[in-house]
Amino acid sequence: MEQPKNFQTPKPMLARMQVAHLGKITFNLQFLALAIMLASIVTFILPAIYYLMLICIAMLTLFIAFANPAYTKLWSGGEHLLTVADFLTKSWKYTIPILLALSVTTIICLIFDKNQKHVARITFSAIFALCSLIYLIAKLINTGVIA
Amino acid sequence: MNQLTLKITGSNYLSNSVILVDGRPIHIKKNQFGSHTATYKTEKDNVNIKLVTYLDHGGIVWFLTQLIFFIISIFGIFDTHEKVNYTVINYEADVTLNGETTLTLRCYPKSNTKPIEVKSDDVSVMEKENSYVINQSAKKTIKILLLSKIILAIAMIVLLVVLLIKYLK
Repeated sequence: MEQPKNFQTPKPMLARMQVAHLGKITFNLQFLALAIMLASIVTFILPAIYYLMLICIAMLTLFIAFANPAYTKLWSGGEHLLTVADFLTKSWKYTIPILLALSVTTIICLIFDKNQKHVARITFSAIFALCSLIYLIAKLINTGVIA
Repeated sequence: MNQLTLKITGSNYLSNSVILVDGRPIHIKKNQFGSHTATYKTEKDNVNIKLVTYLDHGGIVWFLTQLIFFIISIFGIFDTHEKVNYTVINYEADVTLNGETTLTLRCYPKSNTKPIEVKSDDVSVMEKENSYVINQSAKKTIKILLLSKIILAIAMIVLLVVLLIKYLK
C-alpha cells in the first residue's frame, strides 16, 4: 500500500483544528451558562411553584395522613429554596459576563475555521451574546448603575 | 461556463477532510440522505480535485491541549463526542469537464487498497493518487489519552471530595 504524503497532520492545520474544537466546547458550555442565567431571571417563580406543588400534595394527603408530623417538615424546603432563589438572583453578575465571554470565544474560534463552516453555531452564539448584553443593560439600569 | 457537481458518499471516514478544487477549498453541503455535495463553476476545461484527511492527532502539546479541553468541558460532558478517525486518505485527480459534470466519490477505505471509488458519466478522470493508511500511532495515543482522562477525572473527584470534607468540618 502506498504511504500517503501527509501521514502527520501539519502543525498549522492541527492548531486550527484545536481552535475549532475549543469553539465547539465553549458553544456547548454556553447552554449551561444560559440555563443559569435564565434560572436567575425566572427565580421568583421557583418558590411559587414549590409551594403550589406542596399545597396540591397537602390537599391530597390531608385525608390520608391527617396530623402526620412528617408532612410539616416539607414546608422547610421552601425556605431553602428561597436561599437558592436569592443566590440565583445575585448570580447575574457572574453568569452574564461568563456567557458573553463564551459567546465571543465561540464566534472568534469558529469564524476562522477554514475547513468547515459553522453557520448555526455562530448564529446561536451571536443571539446568546445579544440576549446576555440586553439582560446586562437591563440589570444595570435596574440597579441604578446606568441612569 | 463549466460546472462540476461533486457527490461524496461514505463520509463517515472523511471527518476533518478538506476537498480542494484547483487548490482552493470548496464548501460542502450535507444532503437529506447523509452524503455531501459541492458545486464548482469554472471557465476551465480541466480541474484538479484533491481530497486530504487530517487526523486530530499530534505531539505532546496536542496531548496536553486535549487534557485541558477535558477539564474545560467539565470532564468531557460538554465536549463534542465526535467519532475518532484513524484513517488518513489522500486522493488527487484531474477531471476533464464537459458542461455540467457530476462526479460521485464513494469513500470506503476498507473495501480495497483504493479508498475512493469514482463514478462518472462520460467524464475523463485521471487519478494521480488514491491511497489510505490507518495511523497506528494515533490509535495508541488515543488509548493513552483516554486512560489519562480517566486518571485525571478520578484525581479531580478525590480532590473535590477532600476539599468538601475540609470545608464542611
